[in-house]
Amino acid sequence: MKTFDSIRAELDSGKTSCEKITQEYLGVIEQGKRLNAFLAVFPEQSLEQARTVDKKRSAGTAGPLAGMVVSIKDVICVKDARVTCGSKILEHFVSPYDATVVSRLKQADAVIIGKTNMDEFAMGSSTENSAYGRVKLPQDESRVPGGSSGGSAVAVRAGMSTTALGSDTGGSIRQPASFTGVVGLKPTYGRVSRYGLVAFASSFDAIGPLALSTKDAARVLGVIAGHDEHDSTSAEVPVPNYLGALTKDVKGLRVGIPKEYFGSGLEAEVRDAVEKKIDVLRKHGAIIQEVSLPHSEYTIATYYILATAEASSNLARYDGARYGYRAKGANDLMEMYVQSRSQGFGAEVKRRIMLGTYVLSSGYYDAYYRKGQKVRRLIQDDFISAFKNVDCLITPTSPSTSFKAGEKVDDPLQMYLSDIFTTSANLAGIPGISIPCGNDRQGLPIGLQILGKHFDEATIFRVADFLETT
Amino acid sequence: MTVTLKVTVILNLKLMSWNERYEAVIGLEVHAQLLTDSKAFCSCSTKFGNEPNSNVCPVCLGMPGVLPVLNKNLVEFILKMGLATHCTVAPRSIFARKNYFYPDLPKGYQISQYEEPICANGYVEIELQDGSRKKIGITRIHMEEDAGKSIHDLDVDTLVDVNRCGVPLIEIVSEPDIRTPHEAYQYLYQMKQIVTYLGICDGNMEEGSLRCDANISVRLKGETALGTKTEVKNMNSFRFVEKALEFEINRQIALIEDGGKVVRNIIMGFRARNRRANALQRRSARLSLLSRSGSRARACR
Ligand SMILES: [Zn+2]
Repeated sequence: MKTFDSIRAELDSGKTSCEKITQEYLGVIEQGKRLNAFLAVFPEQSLEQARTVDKKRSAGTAGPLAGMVVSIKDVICVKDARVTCGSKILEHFVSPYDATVVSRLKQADAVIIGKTNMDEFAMGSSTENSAYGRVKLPQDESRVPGGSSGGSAVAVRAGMSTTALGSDTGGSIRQPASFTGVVGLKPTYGRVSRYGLVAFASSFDAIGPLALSTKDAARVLGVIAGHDEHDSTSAEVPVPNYLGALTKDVKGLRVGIPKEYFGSGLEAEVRDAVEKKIDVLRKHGAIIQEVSLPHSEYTIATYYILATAEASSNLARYDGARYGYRAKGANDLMEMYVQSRSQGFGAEVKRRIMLGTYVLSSGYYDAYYRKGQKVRRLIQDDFISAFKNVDCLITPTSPSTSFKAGEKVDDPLQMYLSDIFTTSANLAGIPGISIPCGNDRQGLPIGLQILGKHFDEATIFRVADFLETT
Repeated sequence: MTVTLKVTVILNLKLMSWNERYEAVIGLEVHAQLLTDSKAFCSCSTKFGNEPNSNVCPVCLGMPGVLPVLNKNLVEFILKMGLATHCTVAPRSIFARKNYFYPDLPKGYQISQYEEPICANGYVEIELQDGSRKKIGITRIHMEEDAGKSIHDLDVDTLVDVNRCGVPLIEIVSEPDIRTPHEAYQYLYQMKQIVTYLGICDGNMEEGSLRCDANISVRLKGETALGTKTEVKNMNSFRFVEKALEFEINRQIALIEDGGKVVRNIIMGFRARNRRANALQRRSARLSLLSRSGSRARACR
């Protein structure tokens, strides 16, 4: 397992080439097949891309990510490759275009090695809801890697790619980063173009990097961030030099500790580990203060009302009429719709479509959707007022470490609660990062979350990098 | 011979007395297809007559992962229309999704406007038969995208052409200020003049660049409450709108006079294909009744 810095050092010393590096990753993917992290691997294309990068390197024209090998969550479009979203309904669907993040990575000379497994349409917290089988935690294969970007997190943890892209609608990058012990960033809403990200909940979805180090996550964000004419919600806010923000200094930094995130339901070992890190910051001159986010208890309910409403609309296009799975033997249009969707979608996706359709139906719209939007505003306001006094917030990423496969599959509420600390950032649109924070007694990784102000990824990178390297 | 004549006279008298006792309340929804070069949310051409499914891209095909980008010309065109009809222009306007399943609707929803339309509270003036002028209120004008075309009348199967999918439309909704089919005709005539003068739509109703739906109810003169309305959709000529409204008004009055009740429904597909024939005489062949509960029916576009 190598960070980009060590890869670059080896490349610069002439010890290796992009082609060799890519070859090595392909070997690790092959050896780790039982983890089921990948839905598609691109051996020929990635090696060819690597050879091109090698040529550019000798010509001195290589981009900033030359030598980085990236895996892409299978909810992000790569031209001419299948994008299944972990669903049977898109099993044979090939994307005719590259997502903006993918074309930016390619332009920066990163090598795209394959597409990673995930919960179907990014709905889940364990990567058990994939139509193509569950993903296993490398540290203990009877356990889950978190989700929905479980495949991307495992790809990084197991050394199958240098970094990976995931998507985070309610914690789907940060929670698996926490369970597998890697760094995972959900950027500010609007920081990274969503063009080519298959929509789950459009006002929550964010693409972000998973990496072995904060520095690598910052490098990837620097390349994929910024306005895109194909996404009107991508902001025209300048992208700072994130690497320059890693100052190794937290003196005078005001860190808020939201008391609602340290209450009941939090595993003691997780709490202790996070508090230990807070002490490190205090010792190095950060100003630690308790803050309150009073509407925290409504986070999960609000999220599931609004996100499912958006999902029910976004997933309407998978109807068997134009592309994707179409049931055989239907006698009329309605039968074709009902059978294609009944057979093509898995249980959790159907549950959320039904919930969302109900929430949006006339007669219930005001009671649920409109009220949900109002509560969302209150939750946003909580963060905005907290950030008047502090520069960032620190919480656990998830209340527990990885759980056993099958343990929560039949209990959606328990499953939803594993995102209790992460969904608020999506409701508020603020950035959040999960970094490794030691292990519990079973040797399972614990994650610490740092939340920042809108478009202030630089500060959370600074804190993350400080904790990682101190 | 004498008997036939007598019956005709009595019928005419009866109609006269109905028309004096009743008044119609009519509101019109006019859809104008805009003359922008590209579609509402992607850069595909809006040119007509191309091969089926050739003016398409991942965005208007509703491929997974795509996002809409608003055509600036569409906004400029609708603002012209709003200003020409004395509307208030909203400083902030939002799009909404109208969700329904149909094969010619690739995303499973139409991008339209619901709350906060871009233009509202305007009016146009029409000239009445006696030479006086009357203001017809405009409730709202909003932006939306057209759907594709399903072709059912082929032996093979249902075929879908999505060339038209995403072509920008504006919908102009009038207040229920129109009282007679002639006023409706005059209103449409004004609309056509305005859109063609502004150069935002070719105003050709026969070819579908201007489409009109009407909400019609009747009530006894002097009453303030509205009667139950029916919706007549897809009328494709000015004269035909006038005739269809006349027909529907008389139908409603006759129904009430016979002790019946007007049932709220949608009448689809009035068409004047052969304009030399009397469309009303041929109505049974063309008029199809489709009642839908809830959302507006789209099947016969
Ligand atoms: Zn297009």
